[in-house]
Amino acid sequence: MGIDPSEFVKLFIRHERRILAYLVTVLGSASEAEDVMQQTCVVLWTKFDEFEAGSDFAAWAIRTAYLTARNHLRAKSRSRVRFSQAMFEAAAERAATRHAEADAVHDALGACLEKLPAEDREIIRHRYELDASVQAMAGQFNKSVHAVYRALARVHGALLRCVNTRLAAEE
Amino acid sequence: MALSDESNAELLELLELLREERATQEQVGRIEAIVLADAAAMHIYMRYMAMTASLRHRLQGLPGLVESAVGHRLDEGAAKGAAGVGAVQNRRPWRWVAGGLAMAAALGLVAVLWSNRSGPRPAAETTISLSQVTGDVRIITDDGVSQPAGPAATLRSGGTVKTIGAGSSVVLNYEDGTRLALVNDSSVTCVTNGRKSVVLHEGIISAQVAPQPAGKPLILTTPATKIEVLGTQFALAASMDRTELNVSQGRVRLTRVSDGQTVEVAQGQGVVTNGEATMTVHEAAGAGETWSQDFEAGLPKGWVGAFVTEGLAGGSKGAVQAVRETSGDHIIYITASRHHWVDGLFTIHDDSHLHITFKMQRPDWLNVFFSTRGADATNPTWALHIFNEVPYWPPKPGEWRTVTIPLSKFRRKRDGVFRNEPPVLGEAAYSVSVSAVEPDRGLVIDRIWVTRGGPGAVKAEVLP
Repeated sequence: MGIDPSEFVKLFIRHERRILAYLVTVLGSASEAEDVMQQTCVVLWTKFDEFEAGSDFAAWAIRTAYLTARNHLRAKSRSRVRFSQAMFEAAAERAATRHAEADAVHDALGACLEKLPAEDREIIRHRYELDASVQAMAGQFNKSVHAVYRALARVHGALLRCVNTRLAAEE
Repeated sequence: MALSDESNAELLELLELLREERATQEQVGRIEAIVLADAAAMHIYMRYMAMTASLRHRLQGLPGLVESAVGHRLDEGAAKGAAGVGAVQNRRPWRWVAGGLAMAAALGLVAVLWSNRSGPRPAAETTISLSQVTGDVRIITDDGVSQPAGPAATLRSGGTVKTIGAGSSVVLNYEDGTRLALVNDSSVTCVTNGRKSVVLHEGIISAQVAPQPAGKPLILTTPATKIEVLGTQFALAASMDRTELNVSQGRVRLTRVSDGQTVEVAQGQGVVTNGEATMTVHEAAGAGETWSQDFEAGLPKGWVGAFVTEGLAGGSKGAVQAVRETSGDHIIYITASRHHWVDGLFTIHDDSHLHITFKMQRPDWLNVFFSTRGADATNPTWALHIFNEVPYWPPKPGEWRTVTIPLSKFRRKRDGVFRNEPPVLGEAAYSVSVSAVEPDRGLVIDRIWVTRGGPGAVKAEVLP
């Protein structure tokens, strides 16, 4: 009997946010996490016939993401900065047990983004939605590159405080 | 559970550097020291990373493309449930697509692998041989194991080849004579199952495709497009939100994944998909005889460096400042244009001259490089050239100066060594860079350009 790809797609979409958050946490790099996310997706699909229907897809996917990230790090060029094995393992262990928190952070972030002043929302929109480089943003906002980095840090700090406050209120 | 204000501020500052991929190894080590020593710091780290992942996911968007890439339309209820709470409601359509392109590419492969699993397997699995392995080239098997590619490596169906860094390249040779060349930071997955399927995750590919069996074109998928090839030569560059195609022989059909729009691209034509509403096929003129970049309107897409608007040469509105980068075991400060394999920057003539108007706050000598490919972008040969003659550098601190260098004074790299051999006439430059080794010399370039004609010797002129 064949494997239903739509079932895989549904499961993957439902849990991709957690997988991505997990990979960003253990690798410390969003761009690298997206690379490994691609590889993880392919591995999950090729091994999907080993997945037991009804069991915990998220846990299985996170375990696969861990192995894929570990292989990726072993093969990675020495020239790039990277976490030590100890940090990778510590973050992986912690993130694997708390991957559901990614959903809570995501929901809280939605409310926090709405509360941002318009100017700060524009900064986030340019950096993430438009994928603008800091250099391009500097030109766009008529600021120095350093000033854009500072603004991004300030807005991220405000968002993190807001997320923490909302989650603390719910706990 | 609490972290002191001071440690909290330091950690957040370091995490910002990490997020922007600007952290040094020392700073990464400091993050580790803080996070591993304190549970509260680990908590902050986890929250911060989950938040930035969510920002990318929320605003760039992964959901939706998965189903379109696989070609299975989920019913609305299932899709809604799958997208989950907090799915973006107002995502701009093209951005929605662009953000999920990597996943689309991965699941484009999933679709290919699916057909591989459910269909009849060929009697003997086709292997692809690798040749002209240069620089950092890796093979990643379909179970995720990565290893360096040796000079006589082969790739099995489902495997991925990755070239890492400027100057890395490899040629993939199919048994029917089809050749695919990868250059710089590029990555492809190849599947053969009665027909050839290639997923270009990112980067540059130059293809010489032998005639394919009727009804079984080679299918090449980029993050944004699907291309059907029966037998042709073309060059292709793909990134998350842009695909650039030039056809030098034959004809290909290109379909944009986001809206199903299809164009036929014939010999001598090209097309760029970058989120514009309508894709337009244009005449592929190729690299010109001259070239100029003055940064007056900001940094061109893909240019390495920081745009600056202060402390400029007279009358100028913008310039580019060198930024920090790792190159092998060295830290360099560099500004560069690297993404013109397909269209080319300029062709090499016996009277071509490169001019650079620049200043340095802490003067030292500079390394000027350019890389060339064959006149035809589908020709997978390339070469690197350098000019770093000490007497012409440096200027006085902060002094604007224009240096003119005949291209014939550059030295060509062959067999790993820069030799006293000039560039080959007729080749096309596809990248140019100017750099200095650490420490930061405060290099700013106001304009860089290539002309036909010039003094025939290196000249330096101080600007008023």
